[in-house]
Amino acid sequence: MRHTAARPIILLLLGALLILTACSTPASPAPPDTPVSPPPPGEAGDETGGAAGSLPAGPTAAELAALITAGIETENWIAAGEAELRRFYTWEEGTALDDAVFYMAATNIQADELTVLALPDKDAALAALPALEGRLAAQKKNFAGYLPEQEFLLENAVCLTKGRYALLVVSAQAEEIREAFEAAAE
Amino acid sequence: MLKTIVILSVALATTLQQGVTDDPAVMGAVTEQVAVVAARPVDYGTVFARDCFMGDSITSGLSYYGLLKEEQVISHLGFTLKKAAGELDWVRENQPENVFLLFGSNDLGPYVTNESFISDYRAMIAALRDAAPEARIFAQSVIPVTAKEAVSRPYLSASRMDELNRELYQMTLEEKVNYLNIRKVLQLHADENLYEPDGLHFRSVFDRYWLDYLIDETKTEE
Repeated sequence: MRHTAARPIILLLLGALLILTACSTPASPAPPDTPVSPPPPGEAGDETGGAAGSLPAGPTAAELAALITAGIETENWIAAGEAELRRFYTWEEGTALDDAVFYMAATNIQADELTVLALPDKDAALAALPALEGRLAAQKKNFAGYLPEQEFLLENAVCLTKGRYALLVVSAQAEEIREAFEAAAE
Repeated sequence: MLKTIVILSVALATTLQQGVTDDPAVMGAVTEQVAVVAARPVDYGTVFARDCFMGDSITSGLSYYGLLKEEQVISHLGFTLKKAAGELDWVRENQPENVFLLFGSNDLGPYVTNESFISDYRAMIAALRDAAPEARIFAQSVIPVTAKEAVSRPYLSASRMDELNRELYQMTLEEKVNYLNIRKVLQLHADENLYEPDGLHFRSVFDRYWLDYLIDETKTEE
């Protein structure tokens, strides 16, 4: 009799346990180093997208920028958008800037700057490099003979590509950012 | 939109005029505390579309912060009147309605006299008249550095600037160009620290206040 009375309670507890287990189980989070592929250039926002296999591998520009600036002093930067990126840089026609991060200096008397581009492939990254080098040269000319501290930062700026990524950083911690970039950009 | 701006501008200008003494060239001329106003939601690019701004790093901020187009802001860090007089191609080609000049911070040094600076200003005005004969020219008062910065740069102190701006104002009367005492912008927003930590340059919000002031002073209905 006691055994019969306990059966519904046990079944109820088992059911509740199953429900709780289902609710609390995370939906298989990606490990931190798992890349999240952006949509192919020109198809940003297109939910139909292309075949998964055609997506460029590696982190997005935003993910890469977050990785390489972890622990870096960024108070001299302000987040800017594609409009500023096009205003301050001279790009080859057709350069895809939909997967990019641009932090400009908080004031026009500072040279601090970070630009991270994620492009479709290595060739596209190499093709974008002259625009970054051109920006750096223009800033060197802009600050020449005016603010020695900023000139120093510009002289020690980092401008390079790795794989499908391009980087320009003007910062007192440019070398640390370069090392992080070379480790994270695959 | 512009009409609304003009109405607001007239109201503020009236407020300002009530406190102005006979000496419009210097900061101390404003004797009444005027209302503190916030930067307005204005499309400065439209309001100043036919104008040109020339100056040093302070003027450069106008395009750097995206308030005005790059091409209409003829400025460089360290720019001086002598250098600017040689960069008038855009002015010549585009014939702006108004040209706003803001120079001094780099022109003035320990051994530069007021006479030398005023002489350079006259040469700049002559060059501008040659390049754009119909343009209205506005010479803007030279802004001093902070008292703290003036310790190492006494030639840019407030007292020196008062003296210099009186001479600049007199020159604008003789040359029949316009004078704008933009140090009023600092007084309008005296409760805010508009200077950068270096005591020489200005935070980005200054640029909006400055353009608001120029609207009040120069963009009246014809």
